[in-house]
Amino acid sequence: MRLVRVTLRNFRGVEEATVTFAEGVTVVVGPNETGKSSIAEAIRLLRTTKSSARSQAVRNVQPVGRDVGPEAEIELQTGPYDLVYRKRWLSRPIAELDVRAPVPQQLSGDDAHQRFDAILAETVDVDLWNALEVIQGQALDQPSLAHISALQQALDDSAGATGDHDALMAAVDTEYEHYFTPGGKPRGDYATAAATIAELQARAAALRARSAEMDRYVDEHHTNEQEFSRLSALEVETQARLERSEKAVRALDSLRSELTRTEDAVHTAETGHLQAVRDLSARQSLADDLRGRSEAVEKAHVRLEAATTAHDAAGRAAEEARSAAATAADRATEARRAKDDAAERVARHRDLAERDALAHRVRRARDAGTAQARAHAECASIPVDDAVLASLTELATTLRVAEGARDAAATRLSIRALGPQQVRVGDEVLSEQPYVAAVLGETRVVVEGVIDVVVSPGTPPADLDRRVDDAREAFEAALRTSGTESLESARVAHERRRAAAARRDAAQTTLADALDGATLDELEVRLASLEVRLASLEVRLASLEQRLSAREHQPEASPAVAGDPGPEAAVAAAAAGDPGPEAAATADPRPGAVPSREDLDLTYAVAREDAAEADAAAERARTAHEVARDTLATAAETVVRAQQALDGAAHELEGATARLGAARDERSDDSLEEAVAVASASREASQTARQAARAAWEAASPETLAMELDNARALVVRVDAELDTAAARRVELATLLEDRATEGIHDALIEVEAALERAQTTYARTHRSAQAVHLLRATLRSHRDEAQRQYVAPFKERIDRMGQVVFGADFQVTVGTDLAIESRTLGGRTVPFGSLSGGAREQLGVLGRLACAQLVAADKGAPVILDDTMGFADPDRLEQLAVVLNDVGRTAQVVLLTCQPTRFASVGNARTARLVAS
Amino acid sequence: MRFIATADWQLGMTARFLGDEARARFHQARLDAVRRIGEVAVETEASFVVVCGDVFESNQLDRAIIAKTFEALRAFPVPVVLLPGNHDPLDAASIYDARAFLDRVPDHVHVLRDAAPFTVVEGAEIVGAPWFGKHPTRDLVADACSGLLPTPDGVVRVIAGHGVASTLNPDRDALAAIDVPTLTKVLDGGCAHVAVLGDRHSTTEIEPRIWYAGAPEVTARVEDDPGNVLVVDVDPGSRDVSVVRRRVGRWSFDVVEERLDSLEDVHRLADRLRAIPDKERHAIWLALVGTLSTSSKASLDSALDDAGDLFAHLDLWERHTDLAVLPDDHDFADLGLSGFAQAALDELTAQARSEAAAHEVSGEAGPETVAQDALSLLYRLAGARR
Repeated sequence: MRLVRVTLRNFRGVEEATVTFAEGVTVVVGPNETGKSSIAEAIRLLRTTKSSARSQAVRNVQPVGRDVGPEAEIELQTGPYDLVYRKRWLSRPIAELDVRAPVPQQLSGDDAHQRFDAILAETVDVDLWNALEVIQGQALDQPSLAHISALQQALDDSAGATGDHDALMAAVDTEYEHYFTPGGKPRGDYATAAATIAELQARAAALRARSAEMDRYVDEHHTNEQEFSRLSALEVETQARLERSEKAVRALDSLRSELTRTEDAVHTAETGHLQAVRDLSARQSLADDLRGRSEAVEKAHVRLEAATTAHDAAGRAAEEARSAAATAADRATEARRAKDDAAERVARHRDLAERDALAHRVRRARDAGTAQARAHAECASIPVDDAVLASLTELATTLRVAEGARDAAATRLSIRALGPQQVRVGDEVLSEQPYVAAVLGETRVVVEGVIDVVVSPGTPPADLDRRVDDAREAFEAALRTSGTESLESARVAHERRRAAAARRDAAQTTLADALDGATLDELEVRLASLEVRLASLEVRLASLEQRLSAREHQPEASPAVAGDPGPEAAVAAAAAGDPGPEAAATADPRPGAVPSREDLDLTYAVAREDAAEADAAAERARTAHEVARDTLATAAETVVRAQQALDGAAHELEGATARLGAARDERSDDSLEEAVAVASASREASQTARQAARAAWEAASPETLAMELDNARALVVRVDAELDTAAARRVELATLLEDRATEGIHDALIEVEAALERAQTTYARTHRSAQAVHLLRATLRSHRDEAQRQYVAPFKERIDRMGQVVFGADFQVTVGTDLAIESRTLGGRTVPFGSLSGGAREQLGVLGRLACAQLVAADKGAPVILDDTMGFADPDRLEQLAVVLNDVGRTAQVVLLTCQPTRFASVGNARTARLVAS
Repeated sequence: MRFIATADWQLGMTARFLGDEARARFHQARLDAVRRIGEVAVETEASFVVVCGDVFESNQLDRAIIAKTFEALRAFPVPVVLLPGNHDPLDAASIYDARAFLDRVPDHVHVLRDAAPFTVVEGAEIVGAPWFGKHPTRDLVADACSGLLPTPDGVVRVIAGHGVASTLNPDRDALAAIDVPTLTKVLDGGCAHVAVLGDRHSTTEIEPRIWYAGAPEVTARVEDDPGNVLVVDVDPGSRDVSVVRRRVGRWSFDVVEERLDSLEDVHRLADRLRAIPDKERHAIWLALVGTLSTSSKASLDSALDDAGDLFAHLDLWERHTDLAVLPDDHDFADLGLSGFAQAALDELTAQARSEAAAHEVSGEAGPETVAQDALSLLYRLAGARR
């Protein structure tokens, strides 16, 4: 479709204006309110509003303050048609359609309106026309292009057939919505069927349960009836049994009272018997008591006698012990004296020996002292002691040395006789031995007959001679001092002196030995004191001897032990030992005989031992005496006690005798024994009676009867209770059954089951249909979306191509299957359409429309009308947009309405129309 | 002596698969059948009617059925003797003991409450074996006959029993089965003339003189010959027995089997259904096998939709139906599908073919047919547009 011309009359502020459109781009310039927007509005009103309408939209375009009807006239070519369409509204409304080609036709009024609509519907996609029109202020929106069939057709043509199945899809959607919500959830019958089924199933289950319950009641009723019958029969039987038991128990009562009575009699008889026995026993006790006490008196008597006898014996024994102790004491005194005597004898003997030894020592000491004095004197007479001798020897040596030295310096003469002639040297005749000597003086050698040779020494060195002289002088002086004439004599003297010294030393030793540390005076003093002591001893011994000899002549007296000595005394005597005559003899030193030291020591030892033994015996005897005395005291006490016991027993015997006598006076022993015999017989009789009664009782088996009675009673109670229960349950069940029966459970169940069956059938059918439509819809939609994705491609390419001109080479958009631009990518950044700036959104919206216009073939298309757009665009963008518009103008009609003449000045092939305000 | 033997009235019974309206009619049909039995009694001049058990569907019925039953029986000119069966035993909940029953039972209606011979009319006595519970453990009929002496001269004796006959019961050891040889012996011994039984809803002659009367109105799809009563003639002298069936039932439960492989087959089925009379008293189960094109299936659906409104019940018997629906070359050719719609059609067709193949492999009836259903729907929706 192509717009050729629009004429407005009395339309808003326009009195009359005509705009003629180019085939490509037409820019309509006019200030606001002059009617530039009115052109788009006029076209719209012509299309949509009848001339008779008085709507607000129509009133809005009426000129202000003038009573004229707004009028619009449009000339256009669409399809094969070439037409002019004119309308005036409100005041004198008209509608005129003048079809000029292909077949001329003039219509007016509604006919014109309808015909015009028909022509448009036939040739133009009205949706496309609407979509491509941009009303001022709406430019930011994207057109809804997805359902524009012209565009789809165009895209199909470019991308291959996709088919147009909107109606089918709508039908499928309608069908789908019958079963599902837009969100895909079951709805309507489909949704309710499942719930209904569940509910009905629950109801059916409840009814079946109730039916089963009723059946159970029936069964229970049956069982209960059987139980009731059984219990009824049982009740009769148990009652009879109870009566039998009760009768038997009543019979038992008389037996029981007889038993009780006999048991009481037994008790009474036993009590009487017990009393009689007790009386008899008391009498016997009295008699026994008396007997016991008589015996006690006798026993006490015996005991006293025994104690008295013992006391006498103890008295005797004590006496004996006393005398034995005295004897032993005398013996001890005697023995001690003998021991002292022996000791004195030993002392005298020892003093004698000591005196002899001491005297000997004094003698030796005196002899040694004399010898010593003599040797000492000899020694002192000889001056040549060791030192003198050594000095002499030294001096002699010195002299010889000096002489040797002088001789060595002298001429040496050596002569040996060669023949038998005597050779004399000096006075000496030379022997066979050669003569060798120094010539110290004139020496004459004569061989008788032959020769006389005098050899004179030369002059010897002076010092040597002097030294010899000195030595000789010293030697000779020493000899004089020592009183000797030569060395040899000196030596002899020395030897004598040494011998004397030895003797002196030996005497010295002997003296020291004899003295043994003491001085001679001391020894002599001791000797003298010993002599004195001995003298006194001798005197005492003499008196002793006298005494002894006197005793020997005295007749021997035996100890005075009278009568029968007690054992203690015998022991004491044994302990004292028997001094016996042998010992006395041994100890007795015979006068005139010199007893040896050993004898004396032995005697003393025996005497000492004897004395010790006598002491011990005396001690023992004394102890025995003490014991005997204690025994005597004890015996005396025993006697006293025994006497007392005897007195007490005698007193009690008297009392017992009195009691028994009194009892026998009251009742004789015989009567008591008779009473016991009578009571015993009575007891045995009553026991026999009880035995019989008990046997009769037990023969009646009372326990069994009691148990049977208990059981019978309990059974009656229980059976009654159970019978009551069964009867009650019978009523209950009857009521319950009656109640259930009135419910008509079966009918209700059938109804519910029928409803359930229907619901299930409905559900199955609905479910099947729902699944079918679900699958169909899903399949169709997935294929449609796929197809749309394919035909979206050319649309996107168009937009990209134009956008790259305006925005740059890296411009890209993504387009949804509904042909809406979803995002823009520029400079590597992808921004969702909704987040873009107002200007960018407007520009993309315009590009989308232009792409749409380009894609749709010219004869099927509609003009792109842009009302006051691109207000947001900067000049550079506008320049580039102009390039695009120019390009689009080659294939599609574009009408640009603007109030700024410069905005689209750069569009090359644009025709500019100016609207001027009236 | 002529009498009418019937059984298994199952009063109060209905069918859950029926719609509300049909169910009510079916319920009423049982009472109507009873009325017709009365009419037959008049026609045949029978002396009495004996009902051999299961007079009522259940002891748990709404007691209203009692009044309706008595109303139907009131027109009977002869005594009616009722035997309690396994559905309506003489237990604690027995409908025969309901107040509504005891208070209003008409004089000519009798309930056999024990096995004592009941003289229904002069010259005829009935020995019944009523049920006292749902689970008897003995052959009740044998028990009832055990003390019988030979029939007196001129008296017809009828044994009325209920339960499974031993010769029909696959479970030979069933405790309560009616032992046919024993019963035969009773008849042969002259202790009775004829035995009529209830429980089997199809009219059946077990042996000469031993009959199942069958239900006077159909109750289930499986029954062979329901809807009859027996008109029995007994000559007490010769002991001859003649039995004639009289149909009183009006309802039919039928299974219609068809193989459908073409549109012609569909038309034939439609014709067959159309030819069935008394559709409102007919329940039909369709057992359909074969393979139909989508358009033929649409025709079938349409035909069944139309017929379904006429019949008391018309439905596919899913277990015995195996119908594949696959588009043929012509189904969608005229529908102008193109582009994505054509692609979707192709995909669904492929799925439908694989479904059909799967059915063939599994051999099971009534399997998944969602793609086939989707195709049918597409066919309908796309076609509806033109």
